[in-house]
Formats: sequence, structure tokens, C-alpha cells
Amino acid sequence: MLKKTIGTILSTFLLASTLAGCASSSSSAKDESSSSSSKGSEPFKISMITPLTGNNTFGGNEFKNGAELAIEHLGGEINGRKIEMEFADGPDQNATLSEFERLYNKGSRVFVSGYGSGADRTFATMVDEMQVLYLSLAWDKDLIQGKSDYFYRVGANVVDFSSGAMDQAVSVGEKYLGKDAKDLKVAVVYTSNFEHIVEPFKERAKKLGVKLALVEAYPNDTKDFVPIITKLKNTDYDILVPFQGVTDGTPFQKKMHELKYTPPLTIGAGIYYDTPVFSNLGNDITDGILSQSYVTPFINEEAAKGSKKFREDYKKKYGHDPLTHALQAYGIVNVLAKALESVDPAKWDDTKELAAAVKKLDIDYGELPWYWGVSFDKNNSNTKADKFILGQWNNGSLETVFPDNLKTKDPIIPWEKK
Amino acid sequence: MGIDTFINIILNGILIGGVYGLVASAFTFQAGALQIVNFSYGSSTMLAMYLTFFLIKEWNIPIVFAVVILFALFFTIGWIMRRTILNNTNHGTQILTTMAVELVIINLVIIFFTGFPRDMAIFEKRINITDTISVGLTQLICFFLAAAVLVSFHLFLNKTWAGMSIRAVVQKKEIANIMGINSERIMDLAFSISYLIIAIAGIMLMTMFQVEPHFGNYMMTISFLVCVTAGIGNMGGSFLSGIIIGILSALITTLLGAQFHDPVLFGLFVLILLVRPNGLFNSSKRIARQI
Amino acid sequence: MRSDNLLRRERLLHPLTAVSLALVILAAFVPIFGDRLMMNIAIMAMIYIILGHSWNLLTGLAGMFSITHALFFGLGVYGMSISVAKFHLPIIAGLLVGLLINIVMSAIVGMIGSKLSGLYFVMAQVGLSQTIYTLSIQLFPLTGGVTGLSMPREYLMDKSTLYWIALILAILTTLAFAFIRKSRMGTMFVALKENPDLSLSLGSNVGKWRIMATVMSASMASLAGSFYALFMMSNNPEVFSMVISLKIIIVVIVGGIGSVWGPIVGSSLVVMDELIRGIMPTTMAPFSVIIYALVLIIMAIRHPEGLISIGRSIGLKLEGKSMKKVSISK
Repeated sequence: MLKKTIGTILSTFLLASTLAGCASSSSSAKDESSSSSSKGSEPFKISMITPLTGNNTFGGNEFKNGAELAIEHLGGEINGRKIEMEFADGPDQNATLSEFERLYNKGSRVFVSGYGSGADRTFATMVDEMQVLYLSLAWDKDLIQGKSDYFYRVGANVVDFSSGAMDQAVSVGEKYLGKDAKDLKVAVVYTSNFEHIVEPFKERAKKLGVKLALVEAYPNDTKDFVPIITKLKNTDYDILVPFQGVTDGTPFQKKMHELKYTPPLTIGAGIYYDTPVFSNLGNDITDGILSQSYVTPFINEEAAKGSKKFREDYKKKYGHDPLTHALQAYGIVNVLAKALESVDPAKWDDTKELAAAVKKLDIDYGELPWYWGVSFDKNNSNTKADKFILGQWNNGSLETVFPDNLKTKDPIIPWEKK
Repeated sequence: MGIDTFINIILNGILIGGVYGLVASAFTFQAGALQIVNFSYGSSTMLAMYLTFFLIKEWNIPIVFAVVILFALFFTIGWIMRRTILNNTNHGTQILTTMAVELVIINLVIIFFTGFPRDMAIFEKRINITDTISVGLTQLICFFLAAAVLVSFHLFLNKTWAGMSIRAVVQKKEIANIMGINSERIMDLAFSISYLIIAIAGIMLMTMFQVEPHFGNYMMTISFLVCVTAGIGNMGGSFLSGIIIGILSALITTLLGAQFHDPVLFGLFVLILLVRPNGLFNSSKRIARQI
Repeated sequence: MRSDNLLRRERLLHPLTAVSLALVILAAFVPIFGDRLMMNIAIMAMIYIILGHSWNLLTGLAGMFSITHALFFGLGVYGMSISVAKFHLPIIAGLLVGLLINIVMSAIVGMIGSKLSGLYFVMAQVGLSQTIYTLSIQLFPLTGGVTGLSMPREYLMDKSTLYWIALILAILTTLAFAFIRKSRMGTMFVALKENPDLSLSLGSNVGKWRIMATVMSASMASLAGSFYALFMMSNNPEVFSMVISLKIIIVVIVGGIGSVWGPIVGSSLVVMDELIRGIMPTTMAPFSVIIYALVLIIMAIRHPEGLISIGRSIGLKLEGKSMKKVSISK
């Protein structure tokens, strides 16, 4: 009986597969015709899949707000054609991919990264085949595996970011602590989730001859930080560089405060140390701490066009100060807008032409609200998204102290605790 | 590193370990004495923490009322869970259904409280024993509170009528029935009381740690560890082995480095399971029947 | 009693054969009429069918309650992506590496399973999978940490090719499961589950059979994992997550535990989930997980043998069976 069943199943399967083989070519042709049918004066859709549920809801909504505000500031249209954002929820990798396919099915052909860029690795390999234009903010080192016409990394990459953090530490050491790179001792504390961020940092340290006095990679569910802080206390170092998120950064800093331990100098490497959550810990803890981060909305007003307008309107509309995340989303929509401006609106639906326009973009530093410029290398990675700032917490606000052209205040090192 | 550093680290480990012991004791009571395996255990603790935070910090309810509300709520949750999904004796069904409950709890928390980490924003005072050795006041209070809760629970089981009938039902259900005890009712009561312990543990953890929706996973693995080390069902032992785990986890981080913490601790856990599945302190197989 | 049961199954094959034919024909037409989204959903459903069979073999037949089944799946994913992306080996090598790692891991799990039972076995699995999860994050140079690795682009296959591979894999694992279930080995597994003491006294080597069942089950899950790596073109520690393990269990429990058709019927839940997500407003997403969980609770308590059993009870009266088949407490 079973054999018979198997036999029938297999033969049907074979028959069906030959049928399908003939028809599969026609289905792809159908896809193209449906995409070209949506032409002309219809609103042009930019899609973003960002976590609106799950653990990253907060960052996901910052992205959504930033993109919305960007469209509002552009007046909702470019060259006479309406543009609008379309949002979808992508709490994890698989859901993001599913939503991507769903939106594609509904005719979306232009996407920008959402918060966390969960499935950008997958998209990096497949958008060429689908002729979808994808502007990514993912920062993984090996994100782009080869030449692509449709996938662009517009944001920074992690190597620039974290080796940049090392460089900042060294220059602070030289300027304010009077120590050469060779004499500088750095302690690194991070959750093992950030291994990919810390790796280039360590490499850079090796190259510059900086001594890593302590390297602690704790598991991401660590609750008790006393042993690690005790280790720090017993280590001789000049600068502490923590790579932490909200879940571990807050308890770590609180515990240090309770144990009445203040590191000689802290340079937080972004992620958590430049957020309002950190400033909620109170000035006692935050004052004097430096943080390397992406360009924030709080920089010298003349340095980047429109950053002040963004900051003020954002606060008016959403009720809180924007984080750098919101600025990222705002920025990437603006980059896309620049590309759209250079193409005839009737041809926007032809992603090939649009992608070529993106590739040709050449924008200098400071022309966009996020300060970064745009210029793609042969792997479509933006080479002008390599400037990071160093901020210092001063009386509850993060003042930009480096580089010189963006700074709003001079750094105070060493910080005298009151 | 000096000797006082080690004393500091070990003291800290002992104090945190005591709270781990309390957290695990409710699990060990459920699994060992009541024969109910509750995999929504960690997330129940997490829920207690979130509720503590919201009752006190956000809704500004006086602490006494907040505690009463929390207790009433958790007693009811325990009662409902036992009546609806845990009134069978099959471990497989229990594990599956309670894992489903865990998903429900986590996602309800995300819907109502968002996934954002919450923190009571209390700074702990340190008591200096000598110049270099100090302990946290909150931790110290929690440690003694945990011990007190466990002792009073022990007294409750041994001295009160309700406690004794719980033990009677746990030991010989049929005979207890004959003696006129409504064994189903008593099991409901026992399970609900174990949920009170979870509520107490949640309040304590909230004063010490920051909570996020997946906090329960960690508490769950810690409870497993503690239970297995002590032997499932051994409540006094679980307090002791909680302390051992606390010290051990602190020493692994200090001596080997934080990156070895999880692999070493969990590896040890599997090893203990294989070598001494009845716990380090017991050799008898009847441990599951002890309270 | 037993032969009576078998007879019933034999009779039931008639309508089921028809259903299966309809299913296969339907499946074959997905690439023709369906679009990329449909194929995507179908591929996910196929993956869960394979995983479902794998879990069904270990738990439904051999009676070893596998609670962290995503462990085997995840190792398959990592085996493939590490060997292809890091060491530039061909796909077939990636598949073998995944299988090899899984055989080692499943031998360990099987060994534990032959020594421990019930709650202790479950806890040991949780410990093991937690360790592997942590290592997958910590061994960054090898695994790519939380961000994972990208597969080289030349291995990108178009959706319909992926779909056919998934379909073939799903059919093969279904046949393999059906074959094992009917074979002497399957009888052995069931005997071990129903009464380990008796089979031990009758001279069968419990440890050996338990390890065997785990290895076979893990190999199936490894196939699904290796395929998933090619489908996603990357890896990610998420593949070890509890949610995937639970989804696997739900798929089988909903369909019917121990039955060949269980995972196939149960995978409809995955399809439904994907379809509903597209319709629902995005803020409602956590509700879909809650619905999953509620379905699991209801099925586990009311109909532990799954939808199949409900179907049977319409035609033939269902005898009052309890959760015997997932019994893990001995």
C-alpha cells in the first residue's frame, strides 16, 4: 500500500515538475509587466522595513519618524511627483524577508534600511536579481560580497567606526594625557554581542602599538557586574572604552557609581553612550564621559545644512530630542531624494536608471543634514560616511567636542568631579 | 589581586546567590513536591518585576498596596494556571503548555509595557566593613529576606494545617483523600502559594537588577542550575546551592574572564546532570518526595 | 488492540492518498501561479515540514522529548555557512560538514538521553543549547558573531529553484519518516518509548537505539538547516532560538504527533501565520505569537494527537487516548 502511494506521489511530482519547468519562464515575464504598469503620476513609494514590534521597537520607531519627517520636509514631492513612505514591521530576519517579498509583490521597488538592518545581508545578495534598488545602513564589514548595480551602503561601516574609536582614544591620550600611543593603556569592556565591532578596534590597537590592559567580553545576559568592575579597579590603565547597549550599559554604570569607582577616563563607543537613556542616569554619572558616535543632530549649526531644522521640527512633532538613529533615516531618505531630483519623474519606476543615478551621486561633507557626503567606491560602499564625532556629557547634554569643525564646546579633560 | 578583592567578590557572590536560591526554590517546590514542571517560571518572575516597576514607579501606588495587589494577582495567576492547564500529571503536556504561557507572557509584556529595559533607578548604599571590603545594603536585605521567606515557608509546611495537608497530599494522595482532604483543592493552594514566592522574588530582583522581556530566560537557566545542584525538590539545599552558584559565577568571571562564564557554568551543569542527577547533596532517589 | 489500530490506519490511507496527491499537485503549481511571496511562504512551510518530521522521529516515535530542536537546525545552518563563506568549500561539503557536526552533537544528546529521562533530559538539552548559542556569538572569527556571515553571491539561486529543492527535500524526508516508521527500527523505537524496561529485558540495547534515533533526527534537521543557509544566504544566532524550537513542536502537535501526516497538516499553521502577517496592521505582530501559543495550549490539552485525530474522530470514534505519545516522564 505504502509503495503504491509513494509511486503515485513520485510520478505525479515528476509530471508536475516538468509542467512547472515550462511555465516558470512565463511567470518572471509577468512580474516585469506588472511593475511597468504602475507608471506616471502615481505616488512614488519608498519602502522601509523596520522593527515596530519586538525588542527593538524603540530604535525602529526612531527610524520611522526620521523618514516621515524627511518626506515632510521635502514637501511630499520631488519634481512634481508625489513621494511617500511605506512602512512594514520587521522584528527579526525572517519576518523582514517575508515583508520584503510582500512589498515587492505589491510593487515596491525602492527600499531603504530599517533599524538594525536585520536582513540586509540577504538583500545584498538578492536585489540585483530582482532589480530592486536598496539603500542600506548596515555596517557589517563583509556586507557587500561583490559588484552590484542595485545595492548601496550609504551609511558608515563598522571598521571605520571602531578603528576610529581607537584613533580618538590615541589623540585624546596625546593631547590631554601626555602619552604616546606606545605608552597608552586601554581597557575594553563589551558584551560578546559586539564582538564584530570590537575586532577592528583591537586590530587598530595592535597596529598603533597601544596596549590593551584588560579585555573583558561578557555574555549578553550578564546581570552581576561586580566581578568585572573589581577587575577594572585592579588594572592599571588610562582610558576605559566600553562597547555596551542599554541592557548592560545601565547596570554597569550604576554599579560603578555604587562602588564609588570612577575610571580615569571613559570614551564610550557609541551605541548606548550617546543616548538619552544614558543621560537619565543623572549628571553624577554621565558628566565628563566622552562618547564616540555617528554624527548626531547636535553639532555646530553651520557645519551641516538643515541639521538645526531637523532637530527642532523633530522635537516639535514627536515630543523628544532625536537620536542619531532618526538622523540616519532622515539622511538616507535625503540621499535618495538627491538621486530622484536628477532623474525625470516618469523614469523613476525604472530602477536601473535610478540606481545609475544613485551611483553617480557626489555630495560633499556638510551638504546634507547628517553631515556625511556621498561617493560610492567600486563595491558601492559610501566612502564619505567616515567622519565620527566625539561628544562629552556636560551637565546633562552631549556637547560635540571633536572634530574641530563640528564642535560646539571644548573638551574638559580630566573632568573634575564636584 | 589582593585577598580583600577576593573577599569582596565572594561576599557579593554569596548575597546574589541567596536571591538566586529563593528564585529557584519555588521552581524546585513545583517540580519536586507538586510534580508540576513550570517552564513559564522565568517569565513569571519577569512579569512580577515589570509589575513591581509599573505599580510603584509609573502608577505611583504606595508600596504596601502595590505589594498586596501583586500578591493577589500572582495568587490568582497561580490558581488559574493550575486549574486550567496544569491539572494533569504528564510532564510533556506541562512543559509544552507552560512554554506557550511563557510566549504569551513575554508578548503581552511587549504589547503593554514595550520591550524597553526598565530600572528602578535606585542607587544602592554600600556598607563598609573595612576600608576595602564592602557589601551592598539592598543585597544584604534581600539575602536575609530570602532566608526569612524560605524559613517561614518551611514552618508553614510543617506547623500549619494547610501546610501539613499539602505535605500529606504530596506524599500519599490516596490516603490524604481518604482522610477527608480535598487533594485537588490543596494542590491548587500549594501551586498558588509557590506563585507568591515568585512574586516576592520578582520584587527583590527588581530592586537589584534592570528588567527586560527576556530576563526570564536567565532566571530560568539559573533555576535549573540551582535545582540540579541541590537535587530537585530539596528547598533548603537550593538556597545553599544558590549561594554556591553565586560564588562560582563570580569566581569564573574573575579568574578565567567573563567570556568563559556561560560555557563553563552550563558545561558544569550538564556534567552534574550526568554524574549526579539527584543533586550534589543527595544520593537517595526519594528526594523528589521531600519538601 | 494494536492490530486493530493498524487496520484503521490502512483503511485511512485511501482518502489520505487522494489528499496527498492533491497536495503534491498543488505544490507543483505554486511556481506557476504563485509569485515570489507565495514561493517564499511555501519554502518556509517545507522547511517546517522537514523539521517537523525530524522532531516527530525523535519525540513521536522514539519518545525522547526534544525541547531544543532548533539546536540541530542551527548547527546545520552554521555548518553550511561557515564552510562555504569562511573556507570557500563547495555546497556539498557544507552539507556534509553540517551533517558531521550534527552527528557529533546528536551522539552527545543521544548519550545523555540514554542516561537521563524526563525533566532531567529536558534540562540537559536546555543547558547544551544555551552553551552552543553563546559559543555561536562568542566565536566571532569563525561564526561571524551576531551579524553572521554572508554566503558568496555566486551561490544565490532563484526562488523557484529553491522551491523545488525544498519540495524534494520535504518529500524525501516524508518518505524517510514513513519508511522508518514501518520498519523494524520504527517498531523498536515505539517499543522503547512504550516500555523501556520490558524492551531492555527482552534484550534490546536501549542506549544504542536512542542514540540512533537522535542521529537520524538530527541529520534531517541538519538538511533543513543547510538549506535554510542557502535560502537566507547568511547565518544568525537567531536560528538557535526557542521560538523556532517551539514552532517545530507546534507544527507537529497541531498536525498529529507520531503520524506521517502530522507535520504536513501542521505546516498549514506556518502558511496561515505568513499570510495573516501581510494583512494585519504591523502593530499587531506580537498577537500572532500569542495566537500560536494559545493554539499550542489548546491542542496539547484537548487534542494531543493533533488535527489528524480530530479528522479521525469524525469518521471513526476516537478512543479515549491521553497524552501518552509525548509521555516523557518515566
